[in-house]
Amino acid sequence: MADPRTVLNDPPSRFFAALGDVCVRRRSWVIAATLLLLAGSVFVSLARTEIDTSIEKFADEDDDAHAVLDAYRDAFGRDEMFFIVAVGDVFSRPFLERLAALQREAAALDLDLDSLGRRGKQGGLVRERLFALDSPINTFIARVAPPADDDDADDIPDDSPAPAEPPDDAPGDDGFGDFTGAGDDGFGDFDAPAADTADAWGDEAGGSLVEQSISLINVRQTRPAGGGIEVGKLMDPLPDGAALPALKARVLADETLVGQVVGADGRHAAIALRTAFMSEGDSARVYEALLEVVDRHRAEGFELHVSGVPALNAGLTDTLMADLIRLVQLSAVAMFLIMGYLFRHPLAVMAPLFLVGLSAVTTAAAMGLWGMPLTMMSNVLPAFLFCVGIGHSVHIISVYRDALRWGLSNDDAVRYSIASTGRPVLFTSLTTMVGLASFIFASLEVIGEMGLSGAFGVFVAFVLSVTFLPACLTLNRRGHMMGAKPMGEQDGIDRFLAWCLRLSGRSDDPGVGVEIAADGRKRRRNLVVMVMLIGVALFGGSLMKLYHNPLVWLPEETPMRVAFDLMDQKVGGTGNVQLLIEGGEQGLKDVELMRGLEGLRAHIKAFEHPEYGPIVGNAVGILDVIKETRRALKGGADAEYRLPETDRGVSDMLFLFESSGPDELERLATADLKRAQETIRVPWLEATRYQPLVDHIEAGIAAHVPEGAQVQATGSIYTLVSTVGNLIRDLVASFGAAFAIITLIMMLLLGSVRLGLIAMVPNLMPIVMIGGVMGFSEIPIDMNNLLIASISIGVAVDDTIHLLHHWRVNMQRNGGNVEEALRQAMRHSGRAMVSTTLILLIGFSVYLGATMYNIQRFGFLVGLTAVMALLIDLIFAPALLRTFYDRPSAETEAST
Amino acid sequence: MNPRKSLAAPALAALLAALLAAPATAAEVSPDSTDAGEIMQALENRAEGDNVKGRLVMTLIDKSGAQRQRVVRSWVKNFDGGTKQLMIFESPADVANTGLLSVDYDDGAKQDDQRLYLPSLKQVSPIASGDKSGSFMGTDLSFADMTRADPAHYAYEMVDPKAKVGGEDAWLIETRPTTDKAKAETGYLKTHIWVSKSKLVPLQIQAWIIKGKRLKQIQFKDYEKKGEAWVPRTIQARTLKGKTVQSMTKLEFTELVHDDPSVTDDLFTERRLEAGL
Repeated sequence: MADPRTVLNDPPSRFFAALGDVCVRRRSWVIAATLLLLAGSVFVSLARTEIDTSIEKFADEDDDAHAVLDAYRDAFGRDEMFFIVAVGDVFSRPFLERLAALQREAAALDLDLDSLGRRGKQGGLVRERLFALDSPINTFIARVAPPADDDDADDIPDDSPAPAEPPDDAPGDDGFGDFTGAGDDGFGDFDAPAADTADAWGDEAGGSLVEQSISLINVRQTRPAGGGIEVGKLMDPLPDGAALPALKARVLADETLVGQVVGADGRHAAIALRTAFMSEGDSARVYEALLEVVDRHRAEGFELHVSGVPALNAGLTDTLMADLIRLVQLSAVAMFLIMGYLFRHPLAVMAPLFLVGLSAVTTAAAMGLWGMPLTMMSNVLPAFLFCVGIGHSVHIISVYRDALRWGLSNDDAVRYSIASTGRPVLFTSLTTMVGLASFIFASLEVIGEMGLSGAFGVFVAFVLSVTFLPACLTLNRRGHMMGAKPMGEQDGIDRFLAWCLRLSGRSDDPGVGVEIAADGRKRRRNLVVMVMLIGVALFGGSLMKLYHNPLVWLPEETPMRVAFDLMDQKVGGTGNVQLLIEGGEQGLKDVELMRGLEGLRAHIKAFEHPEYGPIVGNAVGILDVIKETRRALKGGADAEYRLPETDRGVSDMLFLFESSGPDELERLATADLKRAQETIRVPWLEATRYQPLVDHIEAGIAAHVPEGAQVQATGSIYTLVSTVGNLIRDLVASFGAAFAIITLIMMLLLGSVRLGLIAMVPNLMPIVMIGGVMGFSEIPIDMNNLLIASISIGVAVDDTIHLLHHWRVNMQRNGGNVEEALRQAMRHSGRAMVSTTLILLIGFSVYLGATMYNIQRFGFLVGLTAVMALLIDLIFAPALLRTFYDRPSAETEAST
Repeated sequence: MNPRKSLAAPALAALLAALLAAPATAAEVSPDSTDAGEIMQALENRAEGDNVKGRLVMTLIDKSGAQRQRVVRSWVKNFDGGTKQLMIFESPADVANTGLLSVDYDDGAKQDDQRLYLPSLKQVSPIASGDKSGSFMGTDLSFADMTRADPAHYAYEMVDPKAKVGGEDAWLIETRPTTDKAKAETGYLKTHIWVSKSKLVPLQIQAWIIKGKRLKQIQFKDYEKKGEAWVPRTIQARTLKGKTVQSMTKLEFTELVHDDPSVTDDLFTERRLEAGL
């Protein structure tokens, strides 16, 4: 029997040969260590993994928009609200009674939430969904592996408002320092006896997590009262039937109420609920509880919907998790079947799937340990690990069974498979890790985290591929051929590879002069086709549009989208702009500033969107307080709904209002009356569509805000707009870095600058092609699919490295015979490349069954990428190699 | 016992507790007593000073750290059926001479009366506030904190008869509103009151605010003996959400005179309110 090492012409690596030998001799240890890793990873990931699907997670913490948002939240609390939209005859007594009852119950929501009042990432949703909080196992996990932020639990969290500091001119030696300074010195005596839990509420169930609820029933009404004013509720008590027509006319004529709590047609009412800060996991629980409340109150003539940014985040999390769980299961079944078909042995099916699963769990555990939550970005990680893990396994198993076919013993076949495949597997892992790690250059922390954790996962997949997998293969005692055909017999894959080689420019019978001339034509034809394809794809890519709207990831008929549409069309809109107003020396008691704000509001409300027309629904702020207080004080005449003439007049209106409704003022201005806020409601649109409004607002600020004062805009639409800008910037920067580093690695691996540069053509071409497909088929670039480029390069590089590595080795062995080297490389890697692609294609096709559109598109694009990467490697890469390395052929061509 | 003096409200009429000082009558209750009702009754029964004149520095700090300071001149006088109070702002300049005249009736059924004088308008405006749980002038104290409540609407329980506050022996007593009306008026689920055994005055209060599941903590500090009465010079309050301080208030009496003969009924008129300082 010939030595397969000679037959296969594949040089073993000394290091990987030794590693293979260890895996064979110490198989039990390797398997035991892997199982230990599994147990540890499962334990840690259950204890520490967190989920944060908030849109805001994609905001750059260092950019101006985020800084303004932080300042806003420091002063005024959470800017995002849940909305309950009620549809029916709003101005009828039964409707109002139902609305009041619903609001009472919604505002009194009481859940035991760990993260209540805290800002920043927290949650442990995975753990909490699997185990009740007080279950023994959860208690044990919490004790053994406490969450990363537990150390901070006794303090105000880092991103909470800093403890109040007295200003420089504050009285110095009056003991006030103790009161406001760091720590709780001034109130230390409360800590011991009273604070029996973190917030001393213990098991008391009387509390509420809703900080503010506004509806038609209780919306602020500043009215004349006995020569003074009274700040009360619009409907206190509920009006009887006879008073309702007049009330309806008054409310629908009030521009501060229409678009805030009621629709212009009098058929829609909204309840806005502002909760305390909490983790995304807890926010999802509030959403679920709110849905239950709403379900209880639904009645004929009282149709209810729940919307708002926190609802959207919760809805996306739920749908995403449900989709992922279902898809991972379906995908595993599909993989199981296809791998079963290809390899015909349980070991060759179970070991790679186990390897991929363990890589994913270990990555999740590492993320938990590093304090990185799973985000909307993280759903690409399993896909990544899947591509890498399956790719490695298929290549190793293919070589292993070839070695069996050539007659090696099972253990020797295992040793050989690792010795000859280890190096390309290492390099494919390295390039993929570099591709992912390049995301650490991203300005968005969430993308950097995804890159880092992905790189770690790829490393784990590599280690398992060259240790656990061979250890498992040694268990194939009977030397099962795992689907390999007997020598000389060809199957479909062999025929496909031969067809690809012919198509790429190789003759059926190399060595015949006529055929060599024909090769030249084929090669030129291939190169022309390649250039044309790239040109067409580049043109298609130029048609790609940026689009970011997480709402449309959900199907149109989902209750969430229905609720958003209703809110957007009928009650002011779900999106919000928050103006953070900072007065000059006089603070807010400045009539010039108030006039400026009046002008700014008129400017913003006059905005007409180039596509959608007028979109600004409603604006509420400190301006209204001053005007309505003045009107109430002057007897309630609408003509008096205007600003006072002097600074002192503004000051007195604020003083009078504060004396009557201080809690209302607290929402709109800071205690020192230096800063205020204004909320502007707009419909929920795709992110880039907000740019004209953003520009309009900035122009208005420049034109209307007096010198010395400052107005800055923030809010959900600004988060969306800045997210898109950040994503594109990060994509370009990260991909550029990945491309440069991968090119260098390819040059190093292949030992040639020229070959390294040639290799980047089949690496990049699938990405260009995918861009073209997306452009022509109007699939926009959004947060989710922009990572396709990275996955594409990961998939493409894997194939290219395996092919070119073996081609280069065989070129050296065969004295520069390109065709023979290609034949050997195809024999060695081609089958594995085709098998991997088939598996990926089928695995990702399952994603087409997802509920969320973005996941469907993701599956489609990754599957397509895998196919294109294979075809490009099998057809165009050989053509390129012949062009640059097949000198005798070139000379022959020249002579003919 | 004068029933209107029943300081059984959960927050013990924080401001009034400071203005109306308590003589040292702790001997009425044994330090070993564990009867919460008896202690609270004694607290209510203590004789109080009258005709108080003071100067109060109010400092308000919100969760963003923004701070505002107001200086107020204050006069308080009891009458048969309630308490009158005149407050005139001394500084800052933009509120100087703004005044507040209030009449707090002991009869809960009777609407308290508050009138505000705004110098720019030269107008006295009544203020109506239907919600007593709302903040008083933007401080951490509510109108309910300064309004006396009916003890029949509360239940008392001794939590710790051997509590200590800053080394001082105290009773820790829990009060809970037993009626919806009391709960709605105060906005509190319950309160904890630490009562000094030696002075029979409140040392500190913790209230559980139903709305937003918050906590309010009030401390009475720097007690001084004025004649027979113990007077706190400083009251500080803060509102917490979880472990986060949402706002803080400090009230400091830089001047405080009890039984001042100049505090007469003539002070508590609209004309005096308009006259300013």
